Amino acid sequence: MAKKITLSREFLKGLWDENPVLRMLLGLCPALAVTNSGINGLSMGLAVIFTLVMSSAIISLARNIIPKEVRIPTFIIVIATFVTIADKMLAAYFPDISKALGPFVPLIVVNCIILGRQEAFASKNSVGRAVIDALGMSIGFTITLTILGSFRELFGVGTIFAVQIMPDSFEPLMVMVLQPGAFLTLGLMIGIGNWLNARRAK
Amino acid sequence: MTKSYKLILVLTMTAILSGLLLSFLNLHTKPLIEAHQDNVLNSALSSVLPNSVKIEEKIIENQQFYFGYDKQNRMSGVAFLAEGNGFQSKLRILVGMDETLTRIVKIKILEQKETPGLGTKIETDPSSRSNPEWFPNQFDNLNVRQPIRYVKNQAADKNNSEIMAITGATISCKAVVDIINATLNINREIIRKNTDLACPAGAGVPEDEIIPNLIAEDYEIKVIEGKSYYINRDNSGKVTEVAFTASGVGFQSRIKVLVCMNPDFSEIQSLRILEQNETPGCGTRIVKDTKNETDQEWFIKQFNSLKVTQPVTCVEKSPKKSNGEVQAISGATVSSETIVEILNNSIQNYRDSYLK
Repeated sequence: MAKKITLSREFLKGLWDENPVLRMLLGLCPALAVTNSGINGLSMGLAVIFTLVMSSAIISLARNIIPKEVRIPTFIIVIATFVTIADKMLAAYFPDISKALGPFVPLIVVNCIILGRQEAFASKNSVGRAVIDALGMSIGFTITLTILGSFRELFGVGTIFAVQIMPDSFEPLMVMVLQPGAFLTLGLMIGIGNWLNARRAK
Repeated sequence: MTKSYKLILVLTMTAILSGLLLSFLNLHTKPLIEAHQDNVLNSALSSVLPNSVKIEEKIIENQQFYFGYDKQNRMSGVAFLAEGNGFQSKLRILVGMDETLTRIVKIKILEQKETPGLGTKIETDPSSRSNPEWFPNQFDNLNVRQPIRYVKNQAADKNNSEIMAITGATISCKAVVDIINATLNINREIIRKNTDLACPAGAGVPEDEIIPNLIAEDYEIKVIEGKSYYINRDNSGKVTEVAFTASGVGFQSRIKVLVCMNPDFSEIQSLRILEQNETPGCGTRIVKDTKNETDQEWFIKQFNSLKVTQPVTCVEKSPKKSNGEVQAISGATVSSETIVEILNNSIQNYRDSYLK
């Protein structure tokens, strides 16, 4: 096993070095689909934080009971349970957000980040480490989605979190809130990330 | 062996725990979610039926209607759901109409998932800061005697049932217009058949099926004290004819008649049976008497120019028209009497409200 790294490193790796969207290119489906505004990106991220942290905690607790042969179905049941909880809670308490995210909340079940973290981390580490790792990864995901959504919203509508930023004379770039805008922005963000890393390595 | 038991046990336990947890959650969230959906519908209903204090929900011929009533319990508007496909998603629109069904009061887009930033403008347009709901607001007080049309790059003439389409979202706009027009046509026919509300004909139905001796194409529909009238005028604007529909239960079915009166309500100009499902060959003779070879419509023609200053009576033979008498069809007495009864019950009522 790799040597133990400190808890803070465990947390921080999700934000940058192993950022699920920018570095590992996981969970791109929701990252591209729901980020037409800052608030949608943030809400999707919050739903993922909840699901990932809860699933990681439970899987890590039960890691010694779950037989190897049925680990994947067990992970999926646990994840699906928390996704359903998140979905129902959103529909009950934040109906507008639930309406905007549409079918993408139930689809968190098949988000690779979550299953990936259970398989790669939570099922092999203690509860504390699993939760810290889950927090780091999901917060990294959330920050990325929020930036992605805000950027698209800024150029596509002229606002950030529905607050007017651009001057009245600004003509919104419709393409930014449509699907191509998601690919363009994500590509730019990955490019900038790689460039920063390359500079740091020098 | 023990290994496979463990596999089954772990999976079963996980599934049972998950099921239990979710069913408890559902108990808690279900009422909240339902209450929210009711709230959305109710607030939409009160905005499209602004003059109504009581709203009655009714399903007629598989179509959902909301009838609004004012403080005096008089009909003050009708709302219905219009559904259909937009550019890329299903559209659900709540349409509120005034009590004459000739004017849209307001529409509310309840559900749409059109292209963000383009088609979504049919609900709200964030690029218009002063009036983000300019598109749905165009339907406020829109005259819909004729089908709604959309225009592009020019000012819309509201009196001509025109609205302006959104640049870049023409298909979504066309879908809204088409869905409302189509549903309006279907629903008007349903309302005309099933209620006593006066209502313009749906497309494809000749107008003279509603009101005979039509002078102008645009007869007026007026609601007085919750009762609706078709009013026909001559070229100088003088009222020539007032008509209304009334219904009652005949021998075995609901009979609905259109009564055309002269403007002072002293005389029936003509009578027309709109709906009946009486015994074929007996009760149906009120419409077409197959046993009378000279004039199959003799029964209904008796009502032409019949004075109604006194109640109409039904006699077995030799009726005196000047006394308000008509002859019953022997063998269809109940159906004949029902027609007379419907007239006696309704004319007084409609006369009082109209002459006020």
